[in-house]
Amino acid sequence: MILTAAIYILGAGAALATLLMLFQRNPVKAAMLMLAALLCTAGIYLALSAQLLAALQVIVYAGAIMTLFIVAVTVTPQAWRDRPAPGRISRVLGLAAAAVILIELMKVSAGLKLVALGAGFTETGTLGIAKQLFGRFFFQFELLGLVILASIVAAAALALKRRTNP
Amino acid sequence: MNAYPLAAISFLLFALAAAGFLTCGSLVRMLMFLELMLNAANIAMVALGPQPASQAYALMLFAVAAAEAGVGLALIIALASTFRTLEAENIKELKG
Amino acid sequence: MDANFYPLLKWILLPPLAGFLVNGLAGKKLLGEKAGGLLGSAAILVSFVFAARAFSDLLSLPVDHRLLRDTLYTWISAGNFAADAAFRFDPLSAVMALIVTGVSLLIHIYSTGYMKGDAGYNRYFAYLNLFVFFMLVLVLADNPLVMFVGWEGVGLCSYLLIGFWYEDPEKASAGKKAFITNRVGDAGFLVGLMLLFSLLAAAGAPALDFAALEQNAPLLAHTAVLGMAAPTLIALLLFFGATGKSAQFPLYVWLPDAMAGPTPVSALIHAATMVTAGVYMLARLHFLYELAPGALEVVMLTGCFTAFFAAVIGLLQKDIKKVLAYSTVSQLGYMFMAAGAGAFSASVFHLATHAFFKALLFLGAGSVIHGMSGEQDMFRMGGLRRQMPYTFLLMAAGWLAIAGVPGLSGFYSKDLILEKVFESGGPWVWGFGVLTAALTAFYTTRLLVLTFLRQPHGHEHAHEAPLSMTLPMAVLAVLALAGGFLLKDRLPVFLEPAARAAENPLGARLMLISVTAGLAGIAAAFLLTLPGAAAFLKNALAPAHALIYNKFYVDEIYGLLLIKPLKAAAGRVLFTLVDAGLIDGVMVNGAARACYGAGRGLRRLQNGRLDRYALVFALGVAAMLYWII
Repeated sequence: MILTAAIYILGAGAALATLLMLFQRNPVKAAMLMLAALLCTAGIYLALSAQLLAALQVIVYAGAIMTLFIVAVTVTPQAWRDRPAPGRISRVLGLAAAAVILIELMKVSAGLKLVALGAGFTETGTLGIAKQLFGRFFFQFELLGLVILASIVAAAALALKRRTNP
Repeated sequence: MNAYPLAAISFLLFALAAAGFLTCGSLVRMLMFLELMLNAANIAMVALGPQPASQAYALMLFAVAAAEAGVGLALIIALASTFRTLEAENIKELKG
Repeated sequence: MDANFYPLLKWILLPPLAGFLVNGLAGKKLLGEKAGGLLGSAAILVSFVFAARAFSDLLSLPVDHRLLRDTLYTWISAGNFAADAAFRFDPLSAVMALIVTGVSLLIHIYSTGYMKGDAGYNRYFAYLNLFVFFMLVLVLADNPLVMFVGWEGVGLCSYLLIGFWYEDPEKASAGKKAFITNRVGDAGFLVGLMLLFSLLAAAGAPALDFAALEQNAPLLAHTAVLGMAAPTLIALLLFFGATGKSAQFPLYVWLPDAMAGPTPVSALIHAATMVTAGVYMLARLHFLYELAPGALEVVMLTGCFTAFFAAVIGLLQKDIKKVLAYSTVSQLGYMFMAAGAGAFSASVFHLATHAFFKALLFLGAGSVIHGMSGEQDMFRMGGLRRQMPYTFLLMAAGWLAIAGVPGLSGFYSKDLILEKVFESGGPWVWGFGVLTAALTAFYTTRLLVLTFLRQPHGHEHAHEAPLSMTLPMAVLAVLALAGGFLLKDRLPVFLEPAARAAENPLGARLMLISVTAGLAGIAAAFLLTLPGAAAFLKNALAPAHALIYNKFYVDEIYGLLLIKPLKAAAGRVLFTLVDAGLIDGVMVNGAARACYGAGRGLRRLQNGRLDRYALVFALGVAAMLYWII
């Protein structure tokens, strides 16, 4: 009961934070709103008995990624000056597209009303996750290592290029 | 409780992030909304998927999101120093 | 049917094809003249030996079961429509195959001498071998579709060989004329075949081989198409095809022009074999024609008219080959007359004898032309009997045979035809037949007299043909002299074992009349070709002379009525509107313009702006979701 209420409240909080982000001029404030949305999401994970994920959400998203964003915003003065650029028509079209996507997704997931979720707060399944990662998804997991390596190399290359090109 | 409200929350977050992505016009913000879209998808994954596997997958998606943010921000910084702007409108190198 | 499986049949067909491939692909460079000619002739010899072998095997079978079959593979299979690439060897095919391979062999040997030194020597033998192959496909085919392949193939070879000396535009255009005129007839043939198949399939008998067709044809007897009985319509359409291939009125016009080809080709294709394909087709499908008495009447009247008409034109031709060409048209008319009278074996008999004596006459004419270094005008010849004694004697044999002198081959076959025509066509048709016999005797005599007798016109350089040319002629001369006598009883019985020879009480008298007519024609020719008499007649009958000399202006009438409107239509409508306007303008340039326009339009979308791309992408996703859900 309390978990259900928590999910609703946290979900509403995340949605509100995202909505406010849409109208926020200041990029650092927008980043803070994004941080709020991500923390709400961490709460939802916790309510869903995914404690490991909740912790990682805080560490990776709210910690690492947010820090990256703040750094990026601070080192690029252009990020402060930017205006809501697109014209009225493309704004309306973008909102309409998002609305249509939302409505259609809701429609298609109407069948989920019949699916019951296991209620209650359960023990964290870290061992299960570990078994999945090093068993069934071992190959994908190793590939993911490659992806991260590639992204590190790419980021380093871009940074070096910036330095050599005046 | 059934699965529908969770799906609804994740779709709502996704749609709001998509609306932001389509309307903001600034590269940094676009990347932020992109992360939020990924995050919304992640919620649906964890809430609706088969339990231990979906959590394992969500974990890997965190890693992908982190990599994406890293490369994306590196690109943005490079672009900002090259074009002196971050408005998508003004970056038209690929114009045909 | 398994008992009659006879795998040797394909070996009759293959040697000419092999000869064509070797001579056509490797000829000039690898083989050279001598080996090429030898190879071409040897291929036909092998084919002839196999045909003779098959013939003797056929004879050893009981009379009622004389049929050998060889199925190579299933050619077409679509639904309940199935056609095999199959060949049959029955008495009719046997006669045709022996004539085709035999006469071809002689003419190949003759050609080694005649074509000596020609630049296209190997090409010539390649074409000639290909022709023999297709002709054998035609006569050995076991269903009308395979027959049609041969039918078209010989048409192609005819075109190639008429236009053999393609550097001369007149000769090339003669080839085109033959091809296009044949095409008109082939259209009728094809429509007839399709009608036959579709009606038979509708009647529940889709089998195509000739035996099945013969069995099933009566199913159509009461079907009506376009207000006509189906067999009549089909028979008439097929006959229209035959008028093209066998040069009957109104499609005969290509044959005289076909003389532009080398003379051995005229002898082989345009006298002995290909032009008789129509007669063969009628004999092959006789069961269909027997269901359609109206069509038979049309066949007989067309044959009669063509025979007479062509003989009249032949009277005054100057060109030695043109005389023989019109004579061929006329003799083919005889064959159709016989077929129309229901006497298919008589028409095949005449086909055989005609193959002998007309090939002989053509080869003789070729020998004369060879000796005169290309001269074809008879009025510049004369007195050649001294320079070319062998050719003269051999040609005289052909002359006597075609003129219907008793005891020779032309006499027997012509007499048999006239007798049958009298029985079923009545005295009028018979009368025209006899008149044509007299005219035939007249123009062949005139040919011989102008060429070999009388005074020479200053051509001391004329020389006798080499042995390679006179030897085949000698063989043909023997056949022309004795063939009729040897075959007159055997061939009809061989072809139609069931039919009994009914003696016509009037037979002897009819024979007497036709023989008299022939002899009168010969005598008249000797008299009227005297210079004084010829000049007198020419002046006295000037309008008629002009009319006949200009071949009744048929070519000019066709030109005015058909070719000119067609050319105009082709120029105005097809070229200007369809080709230049629609195809070039709209389709070719239009496609380019459409691409250019589309590119210009799409270039605006490709604006390089990330947010626009994202918007379009999202709109696409939304539309797709909306569409699917």
